[in-house]
Amino acid sequence: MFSLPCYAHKGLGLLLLAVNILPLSKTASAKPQSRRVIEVGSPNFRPYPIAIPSARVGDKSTNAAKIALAMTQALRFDFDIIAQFDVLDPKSYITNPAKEGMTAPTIKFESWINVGAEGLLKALVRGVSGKYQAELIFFDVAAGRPLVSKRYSTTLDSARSTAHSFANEVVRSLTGEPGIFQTKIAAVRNTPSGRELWLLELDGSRETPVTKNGSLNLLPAWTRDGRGLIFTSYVSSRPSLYRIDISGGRLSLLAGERGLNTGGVMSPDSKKIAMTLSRDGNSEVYVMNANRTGLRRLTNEWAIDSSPSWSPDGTQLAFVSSRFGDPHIFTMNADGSRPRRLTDKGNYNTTPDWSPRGDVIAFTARDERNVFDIFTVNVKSREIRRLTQDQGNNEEPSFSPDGNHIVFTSTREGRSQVWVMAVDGSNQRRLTPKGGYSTPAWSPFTVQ
Amino acid sequence: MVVAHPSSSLSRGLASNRSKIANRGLTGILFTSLILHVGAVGGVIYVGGLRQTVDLNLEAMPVELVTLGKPREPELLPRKITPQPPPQPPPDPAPADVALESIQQPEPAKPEPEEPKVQKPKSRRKRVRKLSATARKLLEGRDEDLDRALKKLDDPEGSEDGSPLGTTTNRAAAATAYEGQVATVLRSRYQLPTTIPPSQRRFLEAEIILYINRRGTITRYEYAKRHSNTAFMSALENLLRSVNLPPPPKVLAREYATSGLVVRFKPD
Repeated sequence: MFSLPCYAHKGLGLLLLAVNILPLSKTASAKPQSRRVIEVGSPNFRPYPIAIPSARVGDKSTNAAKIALAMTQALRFDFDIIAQFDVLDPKSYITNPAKEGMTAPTIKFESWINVGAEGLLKALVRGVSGKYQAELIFFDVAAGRPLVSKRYSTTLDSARSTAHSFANEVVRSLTGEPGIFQTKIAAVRNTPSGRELWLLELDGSRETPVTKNGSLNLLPAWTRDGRGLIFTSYVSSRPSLYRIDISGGRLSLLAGERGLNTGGVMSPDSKKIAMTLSRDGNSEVYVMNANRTGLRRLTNEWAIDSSPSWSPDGTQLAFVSSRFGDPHIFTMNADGSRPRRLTDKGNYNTTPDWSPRGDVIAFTARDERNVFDIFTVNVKSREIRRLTQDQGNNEEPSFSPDGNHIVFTSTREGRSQVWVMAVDGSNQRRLTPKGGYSTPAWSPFTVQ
Repeated sequence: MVVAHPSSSLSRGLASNRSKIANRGLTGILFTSLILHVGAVGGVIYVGGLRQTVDLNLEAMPVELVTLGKPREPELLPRKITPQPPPQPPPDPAPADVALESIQQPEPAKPEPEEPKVQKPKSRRKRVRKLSATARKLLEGRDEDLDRALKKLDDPEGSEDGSPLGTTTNRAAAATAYEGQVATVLRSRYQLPTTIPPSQRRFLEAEIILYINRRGTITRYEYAKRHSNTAFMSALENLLRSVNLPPPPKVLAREYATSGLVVRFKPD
């Protein structure tokens, strides 16, 4: 029988021990390996949660309190109306904002994190030598530091405008794009004597008349500089195309041809105006220089062609044509060549408005229930998406200058009022306190 | 010849009658019982047949729900579908639910048991087969050494109160499984604000080193690669502050606590 001497037994035992222990000691003393990497992608996108506590008042004057209230309301309205933000309910706050200061060390950011806030907008109003000063700071809650900080001299009248200005700064800091809070809406409002053009603040706080001629004034469109409106008026007893400065009310004739002169829109470079004229007996799309020279016919069909809308690069026009029977949305080159039918669904598609982003055209369509609703059609794929449904008649869409929102009229609450929604149809909000509005047009970023 | 006693004959007759009566009653009972049993069995079979049997091995089959009626005509404008609620992130994984197939439970500062738990002894022959041929040859005839070697083979590994469903000491397998779980948890809570313009979204990328303790808590994190978009970075910080990760496997606990785990956040 095979046997080993005693010392060999001990050696074997040690060997076995070593065999069993070595791997353990190797594990225990192993140096950290190179770091493992995992990838996490495909995020869900959700609105940016922002907390806007009431603006604090730095002194005991009544005006300061009113300014603070107006600014708080304006700020909350601004971030509520645009779909990219989610304004947190102040009832959800677990800290008393009034006990916090305006500087990062005095703010309990953990408390704001715990209520889900990613942004915190704080405001302080105080009187300084007879004037009022508003200090507004936007904090990145996670980083615990201010992202935007501004001081404004303000009054009770300009408090909302001050708040809008700061809200624009916040949007720019987060998105890199200008905000829309100081834009305006031009719309036609029914009056006892006719229909007049009015300007609406985006927050619905103020309505200002533009025309007061007691006639029919229709279809406003903004000039690209935000200084004027192009519109159709019956002020000279026949429908002609005019331009009016929104500040001074100066009226100038653009087109007074025989028949209809309507639907004027300025090209993105402000050099041309496209419009609908019926001077040859049939409504066709025309284009002319902004100085009223070089009138040229772009369409020539037996059917009605109308309602031109420029593409953001100015190379194409969308328009309505009934050349195949029912009115549908078409596009063509700016010189009238290569007309292309975009919509083939529905039987009454009108009022196209080309998105400033260029990808879609919003329009009004009448569906099989004889109800008007807002739709978009993708310019490339021709895919049609419905934005409104089962809430009265919704018509006359107009894009915001950032292309993220659409203003339109709706009869869901009775009389026709001005509403706004995100470009996907979400976050629908009423802007006007009263009814009787039609054909709203969203201004450029700057209104002068 | 044996003549039966009249009394015994009578008693036999009575007994016979009693027996017949008893038999008749028993027969009735048996018959009734039989009918009831048949009925019961038949009922069970019938009811069982009504029920749908669930075959767990069946794979999910995508189906398209249709409603009765005429299909929507293609020339009609589209209708909006009732929007579905936004997806809710699943709850954070509870530490107790994590140690399943491949992950060990974390061991909270508890001394290792000196002796393994009493286990059902395997047959010596089976255990000897596990040794290499050389070891078997060397140890042949030396029961003490052989038993010591076999005991090493049978020593249970892992926590005394670990998962009975399975543990592993294979670092690669443990890492793969654990990192998959971490990725799943992070992905389910990976939300970015819509304030980030679509044009910028495809460029968002950041790498963060997570240091994870034995309980799955992120004790600290470092940025290996930052992005200039503050909204993106803030969303990541919020995510890391609020998320609870599953406890790492024991074999990798030290590595994740000291060297960390790099997570690369990408747009898609």
